[in-house]
Amino acid sequence: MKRILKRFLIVGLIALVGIQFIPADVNKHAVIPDADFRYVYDVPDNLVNILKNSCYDCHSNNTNYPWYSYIQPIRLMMDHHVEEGKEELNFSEFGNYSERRKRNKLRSITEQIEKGKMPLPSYLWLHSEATINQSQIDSILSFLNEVK
Amino acid sequence: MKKINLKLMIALIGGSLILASCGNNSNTENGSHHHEEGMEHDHSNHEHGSIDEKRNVSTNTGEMKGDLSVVLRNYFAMNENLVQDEASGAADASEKLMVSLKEFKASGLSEEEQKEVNEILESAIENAEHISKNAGEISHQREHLVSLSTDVKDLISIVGTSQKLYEDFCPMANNNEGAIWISSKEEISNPYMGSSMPKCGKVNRVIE
Repeated sequence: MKRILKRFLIVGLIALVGIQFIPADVNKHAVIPDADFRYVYDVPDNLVNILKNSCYDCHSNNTNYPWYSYIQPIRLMMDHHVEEGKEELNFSEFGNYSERRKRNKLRSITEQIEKGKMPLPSYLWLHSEATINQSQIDSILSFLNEVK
Repeated sequence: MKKINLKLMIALIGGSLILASCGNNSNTENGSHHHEEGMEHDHSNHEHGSIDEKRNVSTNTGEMKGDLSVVLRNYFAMNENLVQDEASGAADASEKLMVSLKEFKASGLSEEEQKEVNEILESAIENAEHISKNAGEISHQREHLVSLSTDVKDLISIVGTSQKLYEDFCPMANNNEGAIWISSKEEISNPYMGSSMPKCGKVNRVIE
């Protein structure tokens, strides 16, 4: 019995070591494109910082990777998460959206922030520094209302 | 023997973690150069005429450029569910709506119309997808109904319809900003307010 358990453990550990070699996606781009949200609407610097700090990890082509993101299978989960987030809304490619889609997205961003659904609570749990306070929320909402 | 095994394992795990993290680190550092904040970006997006202006002139040209009957049937079924606060029924109907939108083909459109139809379909499919995936949150479904109804309305104005339709308006929907929806019946049944206020709203326009 002990032997089986030991074998099981060894196989498990080898697997854990093995998956560390799975190549990870790297969501990083050196150049910020003209289509980036900040240029499309001339977003003031203080708001750009809030967006970068609280949204861009999952909703842009530049993710800031924490140390634990270099461990599998955490990275695989994270890559999947970023992929989904970018599909829904990609601030780096906002300018390439049709006018209709831009309008939809501005509305959805407003709703999500207003209702406190974004940033995701599960994300904030690990990134408390990404929390947006009420005055930041107000300034984002009034800016979105202006460009809508 | 046991001890050696354990040590070996620890060494292996530790080593692989370091290896993995080093490898990835160098990757990210390569990519993290900062952008020189360019000043010459394009402002052309500001210059486009507001789409709101276009919204009010969507009249039916009379000429049919595609068959929207399946799309509309699914859209109406979805709305009927929302009127009755049936979120999961609305999700199912929206799934069908998504399929019919993907299958929809228009013909005889100008290049400009085709471009707009493509954009409408892209937006409508995305909205329908959200409604189909949010059976647990009817308020989120209704949020997407606001844009989806505009998509459907704009699609009708380009493609045309053989049925008599009504464009209804509720001033209380969409957080009191107001929103439209399309209906096949003259009487009001409001998909935004549901059973709390099913009769809220008025007919904005008859589409024939």
